[in-house]
Amino acid sequence: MNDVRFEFEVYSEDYVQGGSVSSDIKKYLHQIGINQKLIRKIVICSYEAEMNIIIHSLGGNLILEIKQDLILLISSDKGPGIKDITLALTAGYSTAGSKAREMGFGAGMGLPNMKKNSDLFEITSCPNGTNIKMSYYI
Amino acid sequence: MKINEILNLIKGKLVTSPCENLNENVYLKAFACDLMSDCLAFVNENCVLITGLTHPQALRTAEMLDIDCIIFARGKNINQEMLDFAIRNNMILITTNYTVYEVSGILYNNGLEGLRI
Ligand SMILES: Nc1ncnc2c1ncn2[C@@H]1O[C@H](COP(=O)(O)OP(=O)(O)OP(=O)(O)O)[C@@H](O)[C@H]1O
Ligand SMILES: [Mg+2]
Repeated sequence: MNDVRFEFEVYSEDYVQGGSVSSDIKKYLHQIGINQKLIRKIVICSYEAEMNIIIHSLGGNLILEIKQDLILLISSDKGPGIKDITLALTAGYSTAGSKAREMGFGAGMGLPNMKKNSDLFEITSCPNGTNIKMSYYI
Repeated sequence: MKINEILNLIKGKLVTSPCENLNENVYLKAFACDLMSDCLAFVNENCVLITGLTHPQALRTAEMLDIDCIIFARGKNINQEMLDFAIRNNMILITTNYTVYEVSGILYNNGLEGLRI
């Protein structure tokens, strides 16, 4: 199979559609025959990243890249960025407001989940946006 | 544990089910939680989800984890949007007036185990 790349737009505060990009990613990975265990790891990361863009950012996108022996999931948004990345990566740390909590979010587990479920987790952040690159070996 | 047994034990109402035969699916484990990221962090095998969160995101979370049976505690109502989503994704939805604590206690006492996390 040739390398493929998909880009999905994720909108800030889109609480209704929230998660639909990750649903599409899940269905696609299933279609191309990626194994169940790996799909689960990728969609957990994708859903957490998607909800973080919706809840905490001004909007952004998710990119899925399938290569020979590697899958990349990239989450990038337009800001406002994360001031203290170490703190944000601490399990239980959350600045989520009441809207997010109503939906069952705000446990402060999203970033730790993404880190745990990816083979390589790279994050950079500045006021112009947060970028998270997650790699999975097939 | 079969769906029929679950319904009897928690005086549950079956909101929707893709299969008519309620003795078909058998569940061995359950997980109770209102925080979706906790679900995403800890659910590592097939199980029933018990939750007090009646928000479409509870179903979205279940979808990601291939959970196909969700029990909504505390007598909450399922709206049309959630019902449609469940039907599209072949999910079994159950509501009950018992609280999360009571549902968990009853089902645990009757053999539905917790997840090993
Ligand atoms: N894309 C983002 N832009 C800005 N801030 C972010 C972003 N992602 C995470 N954060 C910050 O990092 C904190 C921790 O994120 P994390 O996903 O771990 O937890 P949460 O979203 O608050 O709750 P949970 O994911 O458990 O529902 C957030 O509360 C928020 O302050
Ligand atoms: Mg989060």
